[in-house]
Amino acid sequence: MTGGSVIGVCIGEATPGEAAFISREMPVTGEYVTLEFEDARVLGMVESLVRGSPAISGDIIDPDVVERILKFEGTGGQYVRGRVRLLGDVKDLRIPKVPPPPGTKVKRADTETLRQLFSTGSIRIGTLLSNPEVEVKLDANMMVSRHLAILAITGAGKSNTVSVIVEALIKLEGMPIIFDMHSEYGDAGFTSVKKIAPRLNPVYLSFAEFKMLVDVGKDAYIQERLLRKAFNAAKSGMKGRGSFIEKILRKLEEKADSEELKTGSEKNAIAGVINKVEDFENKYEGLVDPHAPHILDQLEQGSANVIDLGSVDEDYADVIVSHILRRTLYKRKTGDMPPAFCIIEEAHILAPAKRPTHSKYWIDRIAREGRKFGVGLCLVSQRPKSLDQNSLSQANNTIIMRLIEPSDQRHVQQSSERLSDDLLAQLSSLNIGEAITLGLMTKIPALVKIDKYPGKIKGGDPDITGEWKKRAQKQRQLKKQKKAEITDLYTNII
Amino acid sequence: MLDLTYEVLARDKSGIQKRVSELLDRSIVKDYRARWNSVCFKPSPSVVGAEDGSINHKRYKNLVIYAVNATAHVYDGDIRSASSADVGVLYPYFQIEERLHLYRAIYEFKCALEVIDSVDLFLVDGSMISDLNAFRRLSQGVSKEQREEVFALLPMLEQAEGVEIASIELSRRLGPDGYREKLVFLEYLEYLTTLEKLLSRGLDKLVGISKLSTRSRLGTGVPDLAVFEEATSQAGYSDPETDVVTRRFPVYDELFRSLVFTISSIRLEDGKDVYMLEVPREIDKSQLIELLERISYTSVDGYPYLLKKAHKEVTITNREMKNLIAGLGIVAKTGREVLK
Repeated sequence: MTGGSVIGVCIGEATPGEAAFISREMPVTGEYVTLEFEDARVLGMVESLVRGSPAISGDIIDPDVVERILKFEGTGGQYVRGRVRLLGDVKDLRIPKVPPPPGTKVKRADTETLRQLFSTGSIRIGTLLSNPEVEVKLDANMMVSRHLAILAITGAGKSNTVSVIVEALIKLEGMPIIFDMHSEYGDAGFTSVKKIAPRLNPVYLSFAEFKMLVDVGKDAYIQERLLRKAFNAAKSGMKGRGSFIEKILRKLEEKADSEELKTGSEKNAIAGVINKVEDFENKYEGLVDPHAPHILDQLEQGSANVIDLGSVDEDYADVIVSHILRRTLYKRKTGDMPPAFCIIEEAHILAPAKRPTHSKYWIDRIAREGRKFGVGLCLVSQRPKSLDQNSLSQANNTIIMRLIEPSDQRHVQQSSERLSDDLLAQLSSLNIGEAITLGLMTKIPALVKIDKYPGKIKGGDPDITGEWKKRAQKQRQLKKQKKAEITDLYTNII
Repeated sequence: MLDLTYEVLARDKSGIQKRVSELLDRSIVKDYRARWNSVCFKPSPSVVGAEDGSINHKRYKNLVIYAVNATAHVYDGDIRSASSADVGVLYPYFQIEERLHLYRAIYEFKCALEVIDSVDLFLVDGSMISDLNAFRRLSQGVSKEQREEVFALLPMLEQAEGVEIASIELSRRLGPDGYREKLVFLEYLEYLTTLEKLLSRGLDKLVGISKLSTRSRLGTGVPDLAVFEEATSQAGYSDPETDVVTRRFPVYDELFRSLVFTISSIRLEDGKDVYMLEVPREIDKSQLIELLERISYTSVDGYPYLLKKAHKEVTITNREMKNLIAGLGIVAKTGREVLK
């Protein structure tokens, strides 16, 4: 079998990378085609299509004129022009050395050829948009080791895509770790799930992380010095009863009472830092637990490890994410945990483009070093332009869904040399659940209809009016009940 | 352009503007409204045909490459077409512009002949009176003997079938003496022969539609159709006039000079452009209205759609001409290289 039906023929000037064609019938954007020339069978993807009629040109200003022309012409005489991006020889995906000659037939790629290209991975995420018979399966090794970015506007299907990938990783007995910023995944119905409360044992925190949670600013040198001494003392097994925080406070109070502090500013500083530690204790009550086991010790291989960050503020989320990423990288370096795939929701908050965060440092570091140690990153964002470009460009795999903002599209293109202008132009016209997959996890770019995850994901739009109705009904019932009770009571009294 | 041109413009600007406003002054033309008959045409079904042609060329110092297109469309519920195209070298290097236009006209008429028998009405782009008067210069400079030599080939021209130009092949039979003039005369005879065939077979079907007619019988100093365009806005027609061709022709003189043409300025839809209509027969107002209703049947935006379609399809742009030349791989000088 050397390909499907002929849908068009090459015209004009071609390069080894792309060719223009005219078509007898309407192909669809993203459709795969084959072109046979120079003893090679080259796979291509239809990247852009233009349809027109010489009779109904763009300078017509009266709709009635169009109606009348259609009366004579019917739908005949229309033309379809398109551009095919040449992806390589179907055997080895090597780009041909010569362009296709004009007149080369453009054929629909047959299902078997497409299966050989798209269905050999281990993570099924959906089917080809242009051919539902062809499964799209990603190479799990490449996806984890070369990192992944999932980018789309809100409501385009990011959470669904994450869920589909996580479920597949569970089946592979992998270790996905989801930093769940909106409490979406805990009850998503994964085959196996490990919900992990975002509780931190301060003993395991680095001083930098602790300092951030206590809110000691980077210019508060005296406070920082006082806090560091107390932190190190508490950490080095300071004697006496009480929790880690109590020990720090005791150490600080001892300092405040001592004669060592001579200047007024030092005295003010110690009072300030004590206040901040006490505030920290109140603010993160229930989250900072001196008896909590280390989060990494709670992770389970073969489960979706969901760290619910829905109820914590951004500072806390930043500390917990950076803490886990740091420890994960360390543990992988020492070989103390299985390879992990860290899924970072709202990545533009944790690794923003224009300000430093603790997480950003570790995200960037894992993006650079993770490949060697089996730590994969999955950056999920609805605002790619607000996401750190360094981290994004290290993600060698991308799943891009509907993206409308031109600045977001440009940012993504700058980070991915595989995203051509024609593919970029399609981003705003993708429907919900449709995506472009790029990178090393697929042999070639694919336009994919992502599978619908069967479980319950909260990421969808809430039914506001439904909820109003339910609550109103409940209130009416309550009123009715109260009225009945009062009537009963009154009747009994009488 | 010389900078002096701007100086002249600055000096004469107000005068030019005044003249333009005088010429565009509607009050001057309003008197001609009385000659306009407003009619709301009711489209009447008819099998309609139309043709158009186009020619382009590239002139080098020593040769001329030309490309010619012609097409005729028929609408009888569906659109059918007869088309022809030719690319060639114009030889000899003589009377270039006029001969190329003659080639285009021959191709147009021959395409029209392919479909004329199957239509009720056939629309020709332009004026048939102009067609009859055209290319006269091509019959000049040929001696009586040379004419006789060419006339001997007339039966073959008349019998020639197909859409290509028969003169090119027949010219091999001409002797070397005055070859250039004889060939050009032969081509002119082919033109008249084809036009005669078309007029004979389509006398009651042919309608000329001219967008840019310069006919000026109203005495306003501007073309009549421009006057009616300014003076009126409703669909209708001007009072029909008749005209004849008085010049003599080397062949079919009697036929051509016996033709009476009816001419009228027409507007098919309210607010649309005015065109010049011309038929090679005498018709009265009621016949004219009936004819215009049949033309309206296949008109879009106030213009016969088949004429527009034919025009769009045959036009050979300079860019397309350049592509054709590139395909030939010709290395020749135009003589203008020195200016670049």
